[in-house]
Amino acid sequence: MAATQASSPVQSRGAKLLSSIQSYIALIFTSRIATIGLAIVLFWVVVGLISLVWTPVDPNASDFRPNQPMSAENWLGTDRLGRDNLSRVMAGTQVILLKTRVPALPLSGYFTGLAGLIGIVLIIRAIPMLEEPNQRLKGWGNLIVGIALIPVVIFLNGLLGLQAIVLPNFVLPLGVALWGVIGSLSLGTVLGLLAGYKGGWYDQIIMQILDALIAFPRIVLYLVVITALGQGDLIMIFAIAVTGAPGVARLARSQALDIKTRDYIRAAETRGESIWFIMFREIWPNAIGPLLVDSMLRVGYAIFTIGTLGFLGRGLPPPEPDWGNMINVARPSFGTVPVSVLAPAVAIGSLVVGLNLFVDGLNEEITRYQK
Amino acid sequence: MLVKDCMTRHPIMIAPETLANEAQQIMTTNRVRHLPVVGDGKRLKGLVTAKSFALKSDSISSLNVWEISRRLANLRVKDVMVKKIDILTASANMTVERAAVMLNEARQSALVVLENPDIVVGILTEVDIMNALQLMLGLPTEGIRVTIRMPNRKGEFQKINDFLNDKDWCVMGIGTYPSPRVEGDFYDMVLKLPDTTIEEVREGLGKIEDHQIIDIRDVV
Amino acid sequence: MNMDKKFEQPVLKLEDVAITYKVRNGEIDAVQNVSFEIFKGESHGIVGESGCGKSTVAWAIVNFLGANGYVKSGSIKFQGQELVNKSDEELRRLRGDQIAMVYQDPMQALNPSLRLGDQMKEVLTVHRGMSESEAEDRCVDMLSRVYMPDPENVIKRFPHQISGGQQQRVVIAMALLNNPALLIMDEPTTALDVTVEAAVLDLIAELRRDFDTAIMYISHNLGVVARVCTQVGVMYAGEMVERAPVRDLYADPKHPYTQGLLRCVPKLGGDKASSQLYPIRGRVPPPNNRPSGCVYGPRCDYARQRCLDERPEVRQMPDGTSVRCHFAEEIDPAAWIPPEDIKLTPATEDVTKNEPILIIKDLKKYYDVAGSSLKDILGLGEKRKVKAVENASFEVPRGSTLGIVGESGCGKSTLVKTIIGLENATAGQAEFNVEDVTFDVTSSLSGRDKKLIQELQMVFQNPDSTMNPSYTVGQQIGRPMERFGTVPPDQIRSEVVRLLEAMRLGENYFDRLPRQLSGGEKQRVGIARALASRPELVLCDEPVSALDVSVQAAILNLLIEIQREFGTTLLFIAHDLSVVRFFSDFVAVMYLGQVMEFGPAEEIYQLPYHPYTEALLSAVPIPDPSVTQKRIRLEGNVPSAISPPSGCRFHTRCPRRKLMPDGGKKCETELPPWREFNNGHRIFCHLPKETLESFDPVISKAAEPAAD
Ligand SMILES: Nc1ncnc2c1ncn2[C@@H]1O[C@H](COP(=O)(O)OP(=O)(O)OP(=O)(O)O)[C@@H](O)[C@H]1O
Ligand code: SF4
Ligand code: SF4
Ligand SMILES: [Mg+2]
Repeated sequence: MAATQASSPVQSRGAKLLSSIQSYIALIFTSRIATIGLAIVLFWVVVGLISLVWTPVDPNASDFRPNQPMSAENWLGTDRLGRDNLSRVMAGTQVILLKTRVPALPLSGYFTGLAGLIGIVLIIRAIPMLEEPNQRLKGWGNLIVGIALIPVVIFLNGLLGLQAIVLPNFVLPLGVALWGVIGSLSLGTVLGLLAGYKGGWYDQIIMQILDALIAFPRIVLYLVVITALGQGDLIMIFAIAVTGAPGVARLARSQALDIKTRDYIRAAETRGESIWFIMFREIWPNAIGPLLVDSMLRVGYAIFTIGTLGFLGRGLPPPEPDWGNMINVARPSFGTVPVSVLAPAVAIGSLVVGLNLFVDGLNEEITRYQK
Repeated sequence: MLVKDCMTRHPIMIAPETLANEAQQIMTTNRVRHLPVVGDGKRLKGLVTAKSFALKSDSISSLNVWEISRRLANLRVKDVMVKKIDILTASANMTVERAAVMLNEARQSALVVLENPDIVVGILTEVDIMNALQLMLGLPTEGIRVTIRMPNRKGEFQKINDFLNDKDWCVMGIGTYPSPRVEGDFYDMVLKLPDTTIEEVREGLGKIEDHQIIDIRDVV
Repeated sequence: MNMDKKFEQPVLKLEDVAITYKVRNGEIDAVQNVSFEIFKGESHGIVGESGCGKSTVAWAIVNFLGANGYVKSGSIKFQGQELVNKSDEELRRLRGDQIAMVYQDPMQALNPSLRLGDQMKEVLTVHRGMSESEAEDRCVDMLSRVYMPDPENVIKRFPHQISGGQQQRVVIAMALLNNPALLIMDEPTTALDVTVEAAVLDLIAELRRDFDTAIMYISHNLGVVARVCTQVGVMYAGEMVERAPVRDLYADPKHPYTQGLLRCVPKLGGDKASSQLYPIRGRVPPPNNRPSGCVYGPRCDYARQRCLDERPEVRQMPDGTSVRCHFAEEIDPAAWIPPEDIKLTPATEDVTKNEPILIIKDLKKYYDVAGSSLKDILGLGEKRKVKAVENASFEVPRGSTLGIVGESGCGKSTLVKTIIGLENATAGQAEFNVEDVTFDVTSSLSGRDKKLIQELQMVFQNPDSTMNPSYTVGQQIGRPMERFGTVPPDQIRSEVVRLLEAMRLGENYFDRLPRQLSGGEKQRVGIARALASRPELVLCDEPVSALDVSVQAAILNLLIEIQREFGTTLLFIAHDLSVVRFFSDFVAVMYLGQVMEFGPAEEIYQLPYHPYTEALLSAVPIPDPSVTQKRIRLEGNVPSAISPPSGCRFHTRCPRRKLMPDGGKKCETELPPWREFNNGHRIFCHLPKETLESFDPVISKAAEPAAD
């Protein structure tokens, strides 16, 4: 028996949303673990926000006193180039959580990207059409146009001389780790829902490809992508998205497999809804909960990965400080100034642990009273 | 009638570790006089009867009042029960008569009914045997109870049978026994006949040759 | 041999029991002041609607309330000994082998990875130290005791290799191995088909007599309880409102709730008019929001001021029943007149003569089955097919209702899915006529015309999955209007509200989410959604079987009204013949993919019957102990649809086959002919018309108790 909440009909939507957010917040605070986790994460977010406007010293400025231990002046010492560790650790949150630097790119690049996206959409649209006898022709049309789009656009770009127009650098809100996870969430969800809902050959092919990806050691995948495409925020996002997608897809697929047996999906089918409507309007809203929880964990992994890659010298490009890179740079002097290594290491560790605690606590609390 | 038809199934059972006074309390609240003591899987271990709680004077004569009450408070069922070897047991397929004989001979008041080979399935007490007797003589229904004395020879019962057939009467209970305290070889038969009257019965059964109604009454 | 209860102590005695669950924000008083006792050899039924605490009582007795439940007050005595507040070890000793429990889902009690024999033997060998071979003998004995066919073989199988009804028998056999003094059964037959259920119920009644076991039988089905129980307690909102011997309860219900419940269930015994249903208004209050006076007050037709102020105590009536109502003596159910708002206006026009809207001819649906041998994987093996629907033919007049009845797996859902396009037909013709256009219904959904899609809509079985949890009621009902453009966008809201009102829900439901609705309300929204595109034909797949009886009655009445108002044609699937009776104009009875009997509803329930229909009628539990049913029980199981029996598909189980001249050889080899009777009533059987007409009626209202 569903416990009916006493909700008066006059209650506005906004008020309802507010009350449901309130109940979620209340949920977080009922779990001590989640509260601690949230506190840690919020701490770093606040530190990052502060670092945008103020750091004790400019994180990239050197005062020419390298490898200083902790002191009243430099609370966490200085690094090999004499930069203030505290300021650098603070600023290190930015690239991960708060901003993504998009480098200068010719306009043609954007057009090609856009064309690629349109192409993909056309190809996806073609899939259901190919199955219906009376729309098959249209489907093939879509497919061919979609595939042809990319080379054609590249050619036109060259012809129109768009190469010459270059857009300047700019910065997107949200950090690399977050965008990467958003990317893997989108990609994985589409593939997973498609495989799960359509089943049959779609499922076979999509899951085979994704399983092959999973079979690679992750770090190798990252290195391959970065070595092939070069270092950069966008490339890191791409790498995170691609490597994370198979895991998300599996979860999304299992959700879709469960949800597609529900009668409301039958109802949508008997209304003759398209598969994209069913996938994104009927299934997706009900599958997103577990996917979001999973994504929060993935943010943790992503931060960890960025750190690892930074340590290997293949992380995010300078000048903004990167925690992994800081560790790498300070490693040789670990014996003399351990704080230069420990400070960024603790930063990575605490942020990842905080996220994990938050998610675990939340999960436990959500499932506790479910029958 | 077999034991399984008149025994009490699912008797209340207790474990050997139960406190003796708890057992006593169970017996009074449930108004039963026997409690089979069982281990795991209802295997018979012993039997507690009202007599089990009687104190044996030799065991306490040397103790003072406090010691006695402490001793009693800690007494467990296993200390007071009749041990398994001393219990009368029967199988569910034994006849009631046989069970009655066993009880009589052993001067006991209850038999524990076991199956494969020592799992308690029921208990048969004197009360159950009384019940069986009542049932055989058609007790719970109203009717005419008539006792007929007839010579012990072939064909006598046939006469009654023919008569009942003619009248299309049914019989609720029946029992026979050698006539007590008479000279000669006679049998008494008790019949319980529903839906009829004393007059009708006298009219009919009383007229049978060599038969004599020695008692007739309208009973419940 | 209960000569005198006066001297006997009950096996189980509950006194004033209150049970509470701790939840996130406080406590839920699931059960309050429940008292009853069960004597040896008695089977005590507990009936009531979902959530009224029936299972909770059972769990309290076996101490299975979980981490958050506990007995707050009162006493539970088993054989005179208190169970409440005992330590686990003491409880184990007390209950030991004396209490057994059987649940609704047999798989809950069976370990899927162990052979049945091993699981059963374990009870005896581990616990009782019986020898392996002796234990096996006993298990086989017990299995044949519960009429398991071929028990020596069954003990070598795994649970999934036997049918649900057989699994339930194994569980019952297992529970009886220990010869318990008390057997608690929580909806043991709810998941089973009526014919299997009938056999299991017979078995329970027989075991009670043979083993003198006290049975506590929990069910929501008044018919089932009438068949197996000697005493019945009716629970409502955590309280026991009435308790009486079974005959008294059904013949002379004292509590208004009991009376209401009995008016909600169709009775197969009476004539068609008497199967008119009267739902109880309102709904069961949630445990944390019960009224302070009489819990039934808000729904009671007799409520007065005193009922709102003062909680009634349980009172003993002169005839020994106990009732929790202030005015039980004054209330005369015979004088009850149905309030206007729940009464159904009788039909005015005869729709059965209308021109057919749906014509099905020789419709077939076969599914491919994937074999598991290497040959099959390589595609070399012979393709095997499940013959889910075989040569179904019938017509449905516009505006009428066709009821499709049959046991699970007989293909009724497949038939409906094929018509609506969720499955492709394998062969046959199916035509749908609307506005002088004829559509071919054998195509798949994606190949269908939008107009056709709009005209066929469906209502689903499970209220919990019929609505998408993420959207409001208004959004979900509005979507079909949006999609088919039947209503201009700016009028959608008012149209949805109009539909909601027709569903007796009202505008304030517009913005509710599914989790804020009860099962019955969700089902209403499901019906509204199906009607939103203004379809001509609505297919209902068991729309009420997951609902409580009072809600069920309301939904059925609602469907009838809707049909009269909108002139919709309905196809209505049910597994139980009593539900479709007063509801349908035509009935089709299916067995193993084959339509066995088709005809106007009245004809189906009267002679002549198809032998299978006869068996179904005799299996339906009727909530009236004074009705006698002929006892026909089908042997064996429904055969596999992959290789259905040749000739008449029913011949492996048909109890009437022996009436055939040659002992039924013909039934095995030849497809039976359709025997035609009055008004288009036809029966698919080899038996001659005269023989079919010579059967006795299955159901008779007899004064004397059943003697079969
Ligand atoms: N573990 C639990 N925690 C909290 N509340 C519970 C729990 N189990 C049951 N309840 C609540 O207790 C009440 C009684 O539930 P119970 O399962 O006993 O009802 P029921 O009569 O057996 O219903 P049904 O016919 O659906 O089986 C319900 O309101 C239910 O929601
Ligand atoms: S006490 Fe009053 S409200 Fe409750 S059932 Fe009786 S008459 Fe109805
Ligand atoms: S055809 Fe034969 S087997 Fe089939 S229902 Fe008729 S009598 Fe029974
Ligand atoms: Mg229940």
